[in-house]
Amino acid sequence: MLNGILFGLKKFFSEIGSGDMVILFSSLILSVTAISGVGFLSDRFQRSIQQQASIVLGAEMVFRSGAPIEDRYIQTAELKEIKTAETTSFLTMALTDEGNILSSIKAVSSTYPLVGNLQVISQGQSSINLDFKQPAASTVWVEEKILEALNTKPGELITLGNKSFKITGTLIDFPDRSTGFLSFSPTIIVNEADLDEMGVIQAGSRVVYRQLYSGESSELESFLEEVEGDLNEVRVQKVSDIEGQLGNSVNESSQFANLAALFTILITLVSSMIAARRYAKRHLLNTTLMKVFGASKKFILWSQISQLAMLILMATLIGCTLGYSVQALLESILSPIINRELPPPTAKPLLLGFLTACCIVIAACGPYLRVLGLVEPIQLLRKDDTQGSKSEASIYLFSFLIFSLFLLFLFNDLSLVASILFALLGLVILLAGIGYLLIFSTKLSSVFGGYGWLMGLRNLSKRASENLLQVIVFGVSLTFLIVLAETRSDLVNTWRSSLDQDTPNYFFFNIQDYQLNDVKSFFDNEMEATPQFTPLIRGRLIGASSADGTLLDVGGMMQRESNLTWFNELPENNSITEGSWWADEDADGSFISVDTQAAKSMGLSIGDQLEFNVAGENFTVEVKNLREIKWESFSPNFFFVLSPAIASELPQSYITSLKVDNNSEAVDIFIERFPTITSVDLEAALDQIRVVLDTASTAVQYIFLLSLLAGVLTLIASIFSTVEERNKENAVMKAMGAKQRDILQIALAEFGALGLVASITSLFVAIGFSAYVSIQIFETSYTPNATIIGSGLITGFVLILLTGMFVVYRALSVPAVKTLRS
Amino acid sequence: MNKAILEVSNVTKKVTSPEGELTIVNDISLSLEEGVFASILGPSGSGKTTLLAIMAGLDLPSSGSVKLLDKEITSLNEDKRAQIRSKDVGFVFQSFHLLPRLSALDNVMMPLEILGAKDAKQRALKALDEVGLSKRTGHVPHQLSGGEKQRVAIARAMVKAPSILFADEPTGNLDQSSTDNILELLLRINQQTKTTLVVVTHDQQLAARSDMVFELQEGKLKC
Ligand SMILES: Nc1ncnc2c1ncn2[C@@H]1O[C@H](COP(=O)(O)OP(=O)(O)OP(=O)(O)O)[C@@H](O)[C@H]1O
Ligand SMILES: [Mg+2]
Repeated sequence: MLNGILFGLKKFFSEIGSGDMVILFSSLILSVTAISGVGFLSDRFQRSIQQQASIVLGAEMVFRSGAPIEDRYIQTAELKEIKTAETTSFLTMALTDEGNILSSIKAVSSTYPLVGNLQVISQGQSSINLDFKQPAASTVWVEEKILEALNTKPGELITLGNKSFKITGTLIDFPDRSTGFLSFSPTIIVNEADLDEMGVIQAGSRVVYRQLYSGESSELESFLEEVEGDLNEVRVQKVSDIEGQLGNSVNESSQFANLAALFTILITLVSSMIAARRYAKRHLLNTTLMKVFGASKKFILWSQISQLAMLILMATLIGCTLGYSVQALLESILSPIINRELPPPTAKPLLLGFLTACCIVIAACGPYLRVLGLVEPIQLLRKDDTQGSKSEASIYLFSFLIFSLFLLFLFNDLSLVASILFALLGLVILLAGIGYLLIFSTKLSSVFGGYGWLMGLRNLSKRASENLLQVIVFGVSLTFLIVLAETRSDLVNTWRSSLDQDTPNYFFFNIQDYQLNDVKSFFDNEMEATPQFTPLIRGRLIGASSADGTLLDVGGMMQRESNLTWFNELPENNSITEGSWWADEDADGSFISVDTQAAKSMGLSIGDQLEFNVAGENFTVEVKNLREIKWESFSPNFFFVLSPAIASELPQSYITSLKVDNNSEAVDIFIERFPTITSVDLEAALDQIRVVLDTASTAVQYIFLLSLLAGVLTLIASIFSTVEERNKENAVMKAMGAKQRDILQIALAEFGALGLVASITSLFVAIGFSAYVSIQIFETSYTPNATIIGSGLITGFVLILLTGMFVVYRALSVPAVKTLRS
Repeated sequence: MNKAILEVSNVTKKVTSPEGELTIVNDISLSLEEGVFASILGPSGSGKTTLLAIMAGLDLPSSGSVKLLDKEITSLNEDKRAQIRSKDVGFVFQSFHLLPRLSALDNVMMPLEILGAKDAKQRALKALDEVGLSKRTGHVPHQLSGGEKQRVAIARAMVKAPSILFADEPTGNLDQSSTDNILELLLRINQQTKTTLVVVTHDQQLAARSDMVFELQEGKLKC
């Protein structure tokens, strides 16, 4: 065994430069790069999304309740080395001599914030400080809007409840901005020690208590498991719950990247098989000789295993390094946006890269190793030329099986893997069928021009099974590449259009009925905009029952303040998933439309009755339909939409959104004119999302490039696999007096026809496949992109022709005598 | 009297072909002493190669036994037979079977590398020198003439100093002057190293200069 390994390693370095080993090696590197690059990428993307989400939440996990939350949770968590903080939020009037404004007070503990930054401009300074934790006792940080409304400034006093505070800074931003009723009022941050003296919180006050937790996710999980049993009224929010919107685009991009990596592996598997086949052919003599000279089976096996192991290790090393560099490049683009160090990537992609290399080597080389193992030394005495005897069909079957197992391991989803394999099988059969027909029709093509052309076409049917294989190989790679190119551009376009320059960057809340006309005309005159105004009704769900009157338990939604709205028509970005929108004949009915997700978590279905309380008045509505919103639209999502008849009489305010020019002064004027209306600048947030999407699409291009390389490699592999045979043929033809021109003409005809057959066939398959992928996997629409398809067709054809001609041309430069002598 | 290095007793080889069972080697017994030069003659298809393969342990007979170097090789498993071949048996083929991508030197080194020998390079150079190719060590096969190729092959077979060398029509692919050359080389090896030689040949001249001649006819030894 040891001798075998040493022998194998020694031979490895003299073998590594040979054509088939180079192809095998590059194939392995490519697929390892693809899989590990994608692995590293989605690893890091996932983490960056998690961080974004945790900034929104202000922690990795939040306990939230309307009543004070017991301390023991905090104590339990601290035993597990989980960082904790507490906040208490409520609404109260902020007073100065100049006036008063309803403000959202957030009293924080000394460790707040756990995640993200408190951004404050201290009194007398001009730059934003990011390191602040909790304001000192008896001091507050207040938002600009309050300073404006109360005509005050840092350094002066402000009264909250029974206590007066010194304003020591302007609050620019903070994590865990509330989403509920508190979010419409400007915020003041105070020290939690001052809560008692303020005396604002009394029985019946509406207060939101929060406990924030941050730590290792495993610790958090075990902590949650421990206390979950007796949380009572406490609601738990986790980062994973709110990763939704941003996560979606990243999911799509990692899905695409996974798909591209999968195709890359598939394509490289093909080139690896071709290379392994040639390697085995070349080594048949070697192995047989070794057997004659007394090498044992074990010796031969171990020498080959050590060579392949070496190949796997080196490919893993190089591939993972490349994969890591791809994602490091992307990280350098991402990190200024995320604003903090990403945790180091895990070792999982390394393992995945290694497994991929192993799988490809076993699937591609395993059967040929067996052929080499079975060869009888006596064959050397019988024939001048040795050749393998094992049937090729069983080799392909074996590779197919190994590859299926690998996919199953990779995706852990039987139906997905099954559909991929079925698609692949169908593709191969289709390509084989069409290729077969076309190759054999060339047999009849005596109508074509001169002798050389005819001979070239005859060559096609003469080497029919090999050419069929090449049509399949080219076809599969070309199909995958066209599919990837098509879905990539579809995906990127969808992302772009969802965030085009007209996406609103300002939201306005709290527009009262009486202000509506003034606001409309202000927008119209000063900003030349006529946005939609969405009514906003504050209500509380107080009861739910099914159509037959049984009471329903709808979980956390009960008794909570919710935002409701009403529409006449179904808004553009919404779609009905169940039931129907209200029609004219429903004009007098009391109906409600519920967000599909929310309905699912509440266990609601069509026909259920919901009872709401709005401004002290109770009413009951019937669930008429379930509705979904396209996240790309960035429009506000309402869980509950009422029908006009019931809603139009309820007290309501309006919200709207606008695209405002960055350097426009109109917003400032607007704020001055309508001080009670809350405006929120989303530009920064949108910018972040834009950059993340851009990065995601860049990543997608890199991975696509890898697939492209794999395709070209396969092409070269498959044409080079016939190079010896061609050399022999050329030598014989030359010996018979054929001129270079004749030989080239024959090759031109042969490869031209081959290229045409392969690229036209794959074109049709690719269009069908792209449509399937776009619609089924990415849920976007599909329109064939003429540029991509056209250039795919031409590139495929030209590449096949050029590579083929190159091989033949090189063969021509080998003197015929050399070929004949060996 | 030298002791026997190879004893073949009642060896028969039957194969199944589309036409039914064929006996291609039929009840052959023979014995070779250490250091002899034996040649096997016979028309094409008479079973020479088959017999040679059985004697060298590359193939197994249907019945009968072969004793090589005091070991009953017909009852050994493949790996054991391989082990004997690796140390004590050399082989030369009609069509040389040099590895096309390797230099003459690397080709000759191969059997030693399988054995894991440390001084493989020196020994291979010496073996090439002995067949008169010390100036050709870096050449790859297609840069060599047929006779030169066969001499590399002989060097490859002799490099591990086997006790017995089997050659299947070593001059079958060569012209007259190369044939003479190879013949002289084989005789010299036989005399200088006392290696037992078993050579299958059509060449009467070669047969005439050997110590023993066996003639095969339709799988049977002609007496
Ligand atoms: N595995 C086999 N199956 C069927 N027939 C075989 C097999 N091996 C050898 N034969 C037949 O046995 C006969 C003897 O073959 P062998 O190669 O030993 O002859 P040979 O004397 O070496 O001939 P040549 O001088 O042409 O090399 C031939 O007719 C051959 O066709
Ligand atoms: Mg023979």
